[in-house]
Amino acid sequence: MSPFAATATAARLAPTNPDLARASQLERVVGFESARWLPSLLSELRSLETSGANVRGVGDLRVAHATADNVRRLLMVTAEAAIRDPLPEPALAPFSGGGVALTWNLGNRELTFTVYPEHEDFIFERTDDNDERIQDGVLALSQTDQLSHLITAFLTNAVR
Amino acid sequence: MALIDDGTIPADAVLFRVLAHPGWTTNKGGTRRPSSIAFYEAGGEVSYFIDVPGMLTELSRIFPGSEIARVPALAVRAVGFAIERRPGECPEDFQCDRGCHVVAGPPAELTRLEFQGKARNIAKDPSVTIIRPEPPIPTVP
Repeated sequence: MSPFAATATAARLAPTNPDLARASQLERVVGFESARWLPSLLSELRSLETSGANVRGVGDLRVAHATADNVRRLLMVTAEAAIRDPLPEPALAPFSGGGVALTWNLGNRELTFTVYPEHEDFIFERTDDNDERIQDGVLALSQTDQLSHLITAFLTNAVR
Repeated sequence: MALIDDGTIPADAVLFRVLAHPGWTTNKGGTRRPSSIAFYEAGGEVSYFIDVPGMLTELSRIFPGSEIARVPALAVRAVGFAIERRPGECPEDFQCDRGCHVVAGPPAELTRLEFQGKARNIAKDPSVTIIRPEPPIPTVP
């Protein structure tokens, strides 16, 4: 996995913003032209990380730093993929037990990654326009080709 | 931890799942329903409350503004999940029957992928609906 080459439309994440500073520690360079949603999403993630609570009767919605860092890494990789295939803005949601879900929607179809505490890999699920699951599995960040193919398949609505 | 299904929870019981985050609902083809994410749980034990008189009002009091998923126990058991009472895990100031707080999950170990597949089946079950929060009862000055 190689970081982006800097281009005119890419900027190293500025360390002045704490959210971006954390991301910049990951030594990634992102193209804001192709993933303009990234700074606000990183900020939202930071908010989940700092404000999550253990809500009795609902679940433990606290997001550990390590889990949030995994989400940041995933976001960086998807932002990289977005240079080739522009991705819409995803939605972040915590889930019970300290996990985070990252979901892209295009019409009725959906691509979701779930990040679990104490796991460095990601569960993914892709659904079609009829809300039927057509692909799921486990991916590691190092599987950039598979990740890229998955995103392309989602955008083009490929059967597989 | 593997759960043991509690036979005292009737087959026709209805469970409530508090939808604590906007991302726990979705809109597919014009139909709004709980999203699978609402039923994900890293530890495999999802919290619910059994529907008894006064429960919705109490949930609206404790979780004001939160929408609630109405989930028939049948839909949970249909995916093979067990339902176990957990009165000790109720919210501290809970003012309803604490024995109505339950967790649901697999009776044996599942992979995360398998668990998510079952959560998705629950979320997509046509009998699972979203209940709007009840307005608070006005207090007499």
